[in-house]
Amino acid sequence: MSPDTLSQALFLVLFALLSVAWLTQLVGVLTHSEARLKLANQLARVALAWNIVALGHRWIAADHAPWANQFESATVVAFGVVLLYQIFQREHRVPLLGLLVLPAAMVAIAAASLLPQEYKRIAPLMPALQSYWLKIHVSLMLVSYGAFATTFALSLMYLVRDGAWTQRTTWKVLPLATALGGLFFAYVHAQARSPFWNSLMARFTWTELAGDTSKAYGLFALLGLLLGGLASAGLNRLPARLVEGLPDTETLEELNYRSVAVGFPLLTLGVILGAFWGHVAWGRYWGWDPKETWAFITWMIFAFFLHARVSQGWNGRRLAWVGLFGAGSIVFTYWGVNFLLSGLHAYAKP
Amino acid sequence: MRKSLLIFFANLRLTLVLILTIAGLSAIGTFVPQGDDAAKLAEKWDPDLVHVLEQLGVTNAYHSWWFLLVLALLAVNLIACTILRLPRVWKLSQESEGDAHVDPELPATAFNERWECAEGVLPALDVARKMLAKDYPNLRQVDGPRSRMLVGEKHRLSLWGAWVVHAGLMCLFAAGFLRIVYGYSLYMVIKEGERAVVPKERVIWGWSVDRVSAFGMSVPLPRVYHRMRTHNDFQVGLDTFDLQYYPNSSAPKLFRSDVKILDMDNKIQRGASILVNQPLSQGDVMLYQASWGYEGLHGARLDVKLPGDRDRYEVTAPFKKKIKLLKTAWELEITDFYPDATMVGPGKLEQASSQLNNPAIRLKFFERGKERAHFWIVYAFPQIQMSKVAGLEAVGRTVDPVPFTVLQVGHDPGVPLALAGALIVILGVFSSFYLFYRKIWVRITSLDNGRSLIQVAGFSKRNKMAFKRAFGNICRAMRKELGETSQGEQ
Ligand code: HEM
Repeated sequence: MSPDTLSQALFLVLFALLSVAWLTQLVGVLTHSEARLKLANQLARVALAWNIVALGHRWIAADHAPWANQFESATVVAFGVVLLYQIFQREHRVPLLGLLVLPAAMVAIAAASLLPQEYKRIAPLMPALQSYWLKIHVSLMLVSYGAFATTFALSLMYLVRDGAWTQRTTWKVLPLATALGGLFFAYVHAQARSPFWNSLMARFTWTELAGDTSKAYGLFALLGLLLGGLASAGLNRLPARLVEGLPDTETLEELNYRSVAVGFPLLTLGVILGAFWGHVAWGRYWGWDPKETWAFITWMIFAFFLHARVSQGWNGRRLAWVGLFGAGSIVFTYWGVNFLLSGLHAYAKP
Repeated sequence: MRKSLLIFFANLRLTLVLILTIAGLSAIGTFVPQGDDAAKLAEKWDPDLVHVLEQLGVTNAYHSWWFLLVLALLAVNLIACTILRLPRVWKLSQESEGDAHVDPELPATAFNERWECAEGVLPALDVARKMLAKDYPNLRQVDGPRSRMLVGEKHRLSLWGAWVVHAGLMCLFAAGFLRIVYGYSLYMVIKEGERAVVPKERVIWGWSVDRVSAFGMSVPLPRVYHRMRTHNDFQVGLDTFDLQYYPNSSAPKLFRSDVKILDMDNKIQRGASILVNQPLSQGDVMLYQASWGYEGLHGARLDVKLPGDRDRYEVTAPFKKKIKLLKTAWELEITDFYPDATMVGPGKLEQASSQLNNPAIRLKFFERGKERAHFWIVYAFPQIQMSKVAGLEAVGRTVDPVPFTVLQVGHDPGVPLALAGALIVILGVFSSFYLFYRKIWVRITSLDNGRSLIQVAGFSKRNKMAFKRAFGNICRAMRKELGETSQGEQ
């Protein structure tokens, strides 16, 4: 097996481990079983250890820090998500938190695995990335994204608990998000002319689809819609017990603030160290490159979160929406900028 | 009047509005191509629209007047806030030490407990002190006629965290200002074996009026300074440019300029290497490895077949210099070299870039001193022969192009301030979020029946849940140690 295939396989195993941990937790919650919840937590830790192994393997195989392309960085984000979730959980023990946080790590790995091969391949470092700043700046940014996955989960939990997020909202939002995901998937593969895409285009010569990219786009959007619809149906069938198992809104609000208090300093440090690197590599510490700018926008959104809270007494529902908004901004900073915008930071592209 | 202006600008709601505005405005420039990229925009978008975008500064969003204005407003907002609030906070933090004739007051806080115990005030005080000492090393005692109070605080400095952050931000604003006014970023191109003077921009203060055309009108734009292009008082000579690729790959592994720094009298000062991620600092500028390319040739090797001849001649030719083909009446000259040629028409080539992607040379042939042919040969396509003279053929073997390096010359006097500001922001953010402030009060009052009333109050700035647990633990331990004679109410 080539190191490339092995590395990708290791991360697929990680995905499986995370899924098992998640399912165990779900069952634990539904059956009110402490033992199963404990097991789920241990499984999450096993996944974390496995993540380290997989990253270690890749580090050795690639001979550089394994966060230099889109696939690699996503696996580090998954690591950050689970790590910070574990740290947070140790201090605060929030029932159900993992149910919402672990999927963030799973989505990161799944999305990365669905990319065309050239985004996933182990590749040597281009000169601009040959710097110890790669190790420091990029890893910090990715881990801070992980911290905000907890913010995302807690904001969502708050809204559900509070009743602002209803089953109908899930019906509207989730399928839309997965449909966009499907579209995005199609777009990336079409742009890269991946073998998968080419064979798909070739296979459908007997239909009108032949060579018609827009129809294929539609197909994937539809697939996404279907998947999201199924997930919504499943989620909405979950018994009310799940919602009742949530901590009260006051606790959730405090925890949500705590999670921002963990992520904000990491983000601040990550952005500033990135500026140090920019000074050395690009001759300016700040240049409004799209990636920089979006990290800055995210930073401003969370500064807004903090100020609205201390100075205007914003709380509860409103802050939870701001938290979700900030999490969305992170997703765009991380994936949207890489694929939809161009700039100096386009290292993830092959 | 001045006071009300201050109050207007110190408005915290204004801060929120500005923060959101800045976030929103910054997003614009990530969707509309900026600067040099914007020049190509007119090919894709409606030129009228592009013109309007340019006039509005959207294609140079981060230096547009509206963006800088909002940033400046935020700076003013921050300064006004600090001027207005800092003295108050300072006063609050200077707590009075208490008056021995008055019993100390317990503040109303979110966390508090009270109960009675059989111990006297002093023994109870000792127990309380022992219990608190671990978490709160700097305990303060306030004495009154009937009661004593212990006050413990932890991470007091973190109370200043937000102020430290804002101080750091002010440094960053100031650094940005210095950069916009005094900073410059210029490029210089040096061919291997040659040298060039390092460019510079000088700021000259003084009023002047520019006229810019906007929406068909000529609008006067006052300026307080303008820039003049001059040069730094040193030169850079390029000895060699080194380019290495990863094995079996077209991915560059390294590019490096080995340079000499010379003074204006061409005296060598020192030698150095400039790499990506390893800029060279010289005087008050930094030299960065930005790019590279090829222009001109040291020479080229090619095979030539002359009309009526069966043999091929192997020729090594210099650039732009006529050479004689031995034992023939023919001469040849390499007149042009494109490192990256594209065919734009029959026999017509253009230069796509200065990278060595598709080298081509143009040859001029003379027979008995008279020009006979002038045509291109493309190294990668030996089968394409563009000579119009029957039997005259040429095939390229190797080229030895002359590389040039592109160095970025950066000058930014704001860097030290930006560095300081960045460090201060980091310090403030971490101290304010990871060291959270907490305070505890224990008041022990002697009661008429010889017992004591214990009252405990606690306050925490962040992380209320962790504090709640710690507070509960301390109270429980104290109750156990001191005993409890009546159920105190919460
Ligand atoms: C990009 C700009 C800014 C950033 C990143 C920033 C950052 C922060 C942070 C991290 C805190 C602590 C929040 C907390 O306690 O949860 C804070 C608090 C605060 N900020 Fe800002 N700030 C910014 C701009 C401003 C401006 C322009 C003003 C005033 C005009 C301001 C006024 C305040 C005040 C009054 C507090 C509360 C201080 C306290 O804890 O008592 N901030 N800021």
